Amino acid sequence: MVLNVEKLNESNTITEQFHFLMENNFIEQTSQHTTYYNSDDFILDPDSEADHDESIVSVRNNRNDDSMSPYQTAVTLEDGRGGQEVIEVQILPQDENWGENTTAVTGNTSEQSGSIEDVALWPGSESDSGIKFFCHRYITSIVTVLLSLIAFLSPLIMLILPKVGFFPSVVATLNDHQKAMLLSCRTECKGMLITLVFKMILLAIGSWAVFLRRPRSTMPRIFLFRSAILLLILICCVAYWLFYFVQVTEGARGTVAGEDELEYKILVSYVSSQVDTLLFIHYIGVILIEIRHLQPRYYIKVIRSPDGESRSYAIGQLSIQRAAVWILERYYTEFPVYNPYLEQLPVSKSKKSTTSFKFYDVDGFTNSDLQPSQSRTVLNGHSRRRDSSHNERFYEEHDYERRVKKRRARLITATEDAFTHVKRITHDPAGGVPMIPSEAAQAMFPSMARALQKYLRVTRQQPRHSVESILQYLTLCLTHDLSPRAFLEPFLVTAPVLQNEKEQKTIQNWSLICNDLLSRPMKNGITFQLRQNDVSLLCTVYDLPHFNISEEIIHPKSNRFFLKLSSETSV
Amino acid sequence: MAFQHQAGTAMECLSIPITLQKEPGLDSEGREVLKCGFKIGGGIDQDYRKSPQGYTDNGIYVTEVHDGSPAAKSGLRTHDKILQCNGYDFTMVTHKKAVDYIRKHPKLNLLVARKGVTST
Repeated sequence: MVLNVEKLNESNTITEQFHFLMENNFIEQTSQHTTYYNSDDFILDPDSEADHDESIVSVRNNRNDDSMSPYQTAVTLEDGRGGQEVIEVQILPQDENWGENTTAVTGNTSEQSGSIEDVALWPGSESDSGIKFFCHRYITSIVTVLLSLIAFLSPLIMLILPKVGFFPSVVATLNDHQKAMLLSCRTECKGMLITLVFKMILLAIGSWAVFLRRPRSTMPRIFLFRSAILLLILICCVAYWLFYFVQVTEGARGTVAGEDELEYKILVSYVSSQVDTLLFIHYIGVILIEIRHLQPRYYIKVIRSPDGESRSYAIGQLSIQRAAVWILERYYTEFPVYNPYLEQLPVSKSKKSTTSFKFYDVDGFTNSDLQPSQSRTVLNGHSRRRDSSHNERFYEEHDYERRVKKRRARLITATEDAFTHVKRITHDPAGGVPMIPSEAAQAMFPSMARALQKYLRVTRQQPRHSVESILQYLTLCLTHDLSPRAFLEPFLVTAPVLQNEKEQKTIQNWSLICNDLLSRPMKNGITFQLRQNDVSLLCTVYDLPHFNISEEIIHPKSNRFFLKLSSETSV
Repeated sequence: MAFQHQAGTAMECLSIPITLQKEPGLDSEGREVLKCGFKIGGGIDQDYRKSPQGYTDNGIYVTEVHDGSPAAKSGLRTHDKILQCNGYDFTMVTHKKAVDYIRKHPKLNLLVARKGVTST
């Protein structure tokens, strides 16, 4: 195998030589994207020794055998005789399965066309399991629970500590009589203890009712309000404990000195005021986290990308990440199921070639003079096809809808017929063998199976419903005496997304993309996008207008009319 | 024939040309308007059988002319039928349209049919 060396010699730079070799399939591509080797990558050293068998341009540079095998070539550049560059072609051995591992399988055929495999280059989301996700998900809950427990139990602990004898250093200075005096709790004090107990019960009920829930979302940035509340609780606890110790020691010293400052009653009232503070913090927490965003302030429009479904909602003042969670809740309960198979309408029988060709620019340098005319013809071709494809699309959609309606009507009749065969044992005791609902379902299913299967096939829903799930659902319908239309409802109405069993996972990962910081509050004009696999939701925020309502008084005396029988007008 | 005209059919009759120059005056709300000083009645949306003056077709009739008004000065008389006003045909107009056309311009060139004068 001889390489036409003169032609190779004409192109002077390494890059062009590489081009030449590539075009003529002398070099294989083993990477996904072609890479251009600059002449800087190679050091062409004409003065070096003669035994450079290193092939500079070939990708396989570890087979430097001299034995000939007729399937591979490599180019070596060595010092020429008399200053002339001589390129010597060597045939290097290669394994026989040449065709199997040469080109990588990609959607790219040149570096200037796009490929959906590029999706793999996007940063992947974290997996559902693993210690990192677990930590991230539960760390805030754990911290919150710990802090709340500490805050809740500290009043009790503060009350119990003196009784248990936690302050030996302090108490040691007092004699028994004073100790008994300090720790005594008479009627007034007992009354305060009762209010304290009630307040703690109310605090416990309040916290349980509103805050002790399974967290419904893990947000990427800090949740400002929750962190503020936790900070408040922390400060409150720290302050109260600090002052508690100060109070006890000072009080004990005061009692020793005979001023009789500390009484248990005062401690109880102090603890009671702490519980008051905690209750008010709880109130503020409820206001900030639950109530503030109830009043609608913005109008959000959510558009789903692959199929164009959209919904609009009125939303209150929330940060961007919380708004994303809010929207996702409504997405799962209101948006229709996304059916990726409905993207391509059924091809018409005439099988016209509707594929558009891609316009490649393989050699960007040499085709520059041809580009304007080429692109013009391409554009003209596109526009012509677009004109006819308007009609095609209309007729295809029309045809498809007709087919769907036809099959739907047949399905409904078939189901109604099938349901008339099955009767409850109380209604018709003279029937045949009594069966349990699952058997009855299996018995009557074949009569409508064909119509159902055809309908599912036309609406491309058959991956969503398996035979077992359909039979199970039929059993349920029979048990509850549902009508045939009720049985058909999940197949005919493809509404909320969570109806699709594949979507009913415990954890759903979505990625949130926004230009602004995610913990900032929403403002007019912000857009953010939520992505999961193929589905992306673009959300745009608009302000709700301020409504200026003014009163208009219409005097009831103006509600008088008179009849004008002969119409005469004076001009 | 002019006074029993079916609106929309072709008709040929004699008419009196009247030029009326409007004068400024105050209307019912006190605004300054140009007044002609007469009242009209009739129109294709009205029923001529209910007219108290006993008109016999759906044309525009002058039902009243105020004294000393530009209408009186120009020679308009009551029970005249207005056939044309500034080129607008008044044999097939609604009442409101007739009023609008009259109020439009400050000078009116009317073609009027009068019983006993232009026809018997």
